Amino acid sequence: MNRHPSPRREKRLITLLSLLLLALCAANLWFGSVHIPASGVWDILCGREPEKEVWKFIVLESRLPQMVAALLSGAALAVAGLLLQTTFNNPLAGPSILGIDTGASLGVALVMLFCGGNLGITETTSLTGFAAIIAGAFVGSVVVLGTILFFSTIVKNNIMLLIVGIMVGYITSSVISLLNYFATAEGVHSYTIWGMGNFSGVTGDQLPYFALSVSAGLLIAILLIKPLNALLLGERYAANLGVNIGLTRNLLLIVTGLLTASTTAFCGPVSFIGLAVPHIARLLLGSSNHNTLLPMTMLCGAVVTLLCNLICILPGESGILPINAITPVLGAPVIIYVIINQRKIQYFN
Amino acid sequence: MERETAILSAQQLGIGYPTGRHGVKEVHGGLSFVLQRGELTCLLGANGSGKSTLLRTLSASQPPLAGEILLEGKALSALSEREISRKIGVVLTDKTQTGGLTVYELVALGRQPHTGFFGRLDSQDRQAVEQAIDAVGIAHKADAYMAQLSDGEKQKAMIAKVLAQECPLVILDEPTAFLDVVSRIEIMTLLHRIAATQHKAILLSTHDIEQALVLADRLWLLQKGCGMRCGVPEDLILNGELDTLFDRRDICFDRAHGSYYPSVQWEKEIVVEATDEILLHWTVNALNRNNYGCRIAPGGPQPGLPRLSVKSKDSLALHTTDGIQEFTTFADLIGYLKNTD
Repeated sequence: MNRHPSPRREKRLITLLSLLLLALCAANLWFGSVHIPASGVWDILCGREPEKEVWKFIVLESRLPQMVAALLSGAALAVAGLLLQTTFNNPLAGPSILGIDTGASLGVALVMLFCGGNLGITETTSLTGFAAIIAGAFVGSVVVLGTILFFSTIVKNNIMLLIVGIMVGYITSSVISLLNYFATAEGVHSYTIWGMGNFSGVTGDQLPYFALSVSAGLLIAILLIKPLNALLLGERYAANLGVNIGLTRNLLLIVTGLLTASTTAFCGPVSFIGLAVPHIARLLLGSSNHNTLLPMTMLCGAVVTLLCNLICILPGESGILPINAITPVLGAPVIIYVIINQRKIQYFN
Repeated sequence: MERETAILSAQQLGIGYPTGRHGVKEVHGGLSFVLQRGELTCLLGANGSGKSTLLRTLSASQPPLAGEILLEGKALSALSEREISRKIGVVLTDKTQTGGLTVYELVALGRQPHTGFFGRLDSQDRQAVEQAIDAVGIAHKADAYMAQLSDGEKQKAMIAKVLAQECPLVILDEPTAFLDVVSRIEIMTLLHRIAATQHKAILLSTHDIEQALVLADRLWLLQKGCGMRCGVPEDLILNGELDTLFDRRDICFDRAHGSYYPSVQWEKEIVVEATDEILLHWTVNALNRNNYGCRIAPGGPQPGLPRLSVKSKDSLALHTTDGIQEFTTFADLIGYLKNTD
């Protein structure tokens, strides 16, 4: 499938978004609660000694991990959303709306409760604790996703399935609330902070593990491009084209679970990126072909999330805004726009 | 000769689906049939007669309950998914999400059984895609989005997809449902031509019996409880097989015109004479609808019955005991008949 309606538009878009991505990366390193001049940031990145020693610590130990975490989370959540939308044949599917990140949260909450009363990842969490938390988040998200996949075989109506997803999310939230009841006040506090979403929680030590699990998920997603395209026709057509439906479904389940779980475990449940970004990518690109749509979704996810993170850190000295205060403001209008204009938007028809 | 052209055959095939844990619901048992290359076969039957179940079984989306399907002499159940994907192509009625793909991209999906891991198209694939788009006559729309196509064009694109798949057997589930008359005729003619020119076996289910009688090389009549009757349309029609396809008293098959019509119960009788076949057909149609049974003249004297003599479409004469009434349109005639009730 190389005959795309406008390959030039595609190239221009990728160039433009890549430049935007670089600019946002730079801005994320430059802004923060402590003023560091651009030249100082540049010096640190080039390995030179900055004017103040503390700047080096702030940029390399706080801002850089946060920037990378935002970038990877954005790509991961956006791709998870795209996979869900294609799997469920439903443009309004997403990790938050189907309660998959709530499932991950529950997994995290359970692990934290059994491992000492704290909920959520804090900077003091040990590496083994970490593995346990990621595993918990993964199991939680895969269980919810599996439940919804099961319901999708019974409920054929797309909107009804979304509502089933929302219901599953509510039940999962209830369980989390109950767990909170048993947790220590400190634990509840840290869980609440974590639940608001925050990319600054990922430290430099944790970053490689986070990067590894997200990269693995994104890589498998790329390997699934061909069956994903076949799935645009629906499962029966895809099966007729030689796609192993069972295997593909399981792989999609694992990848979506992995991507959602790792972001949720490290950064909290971040809403709207998974739902809205695939739409932004499709609208910009003018295509549902995963050959181009998948890389474009990653790129857009990274750009949008870095932008959100930048807005969060802009208040500067007065502190960081929770990411979930910003993502709906950017994401919800996109979804409303798409729903209102669905007749005019090709991929909806 | 038979061996060379037959692509798919089954003996004593049982079809159905599992119900609950252990039970199975057999829809049909003992079906035997052969599909020939180069022929368009139309599967006819009422809703619930098992058409979809049969098509799903033949396209290997569900296993048979009994018997075995042979595809090119090999058991269908023994073939891998990839082998089947190169042998049997399907066009379904399923909802797709393809509005954001161009026609070319959609048709290229049909190459998936032939392409490598990432689905990249080589020159041979591209050629197959372009030929498929040409064959269905939508080359001018190749770069258009699927969402911009009419329903008929969308269906042609799906057929192009299945042609690009290069399968010797193509199975279509109601390809003309939801289409207007022009598109129905276009699609059926197209499929008939493709079967002959590309030497493919094409099997489709349809409710469009008139088109099927005109264009099908072979008919499969599926009826609940009666199994399946196969044959060339003319043989089946003249043997009266279509008369009983729908097991209903109030529906009759018109062998002369190859269509079904509601059987009428009339209270009054009239003698009709007309100068040609077409006039006679439509005169009887008008009278039947208005509660008159027709006796076709000449049939000897019919004392006491009114007689309608149709010389041309605007010269209708009604002879009754009261005298002769002349009409210039059927509207006038029908109006008069209704008033005399």
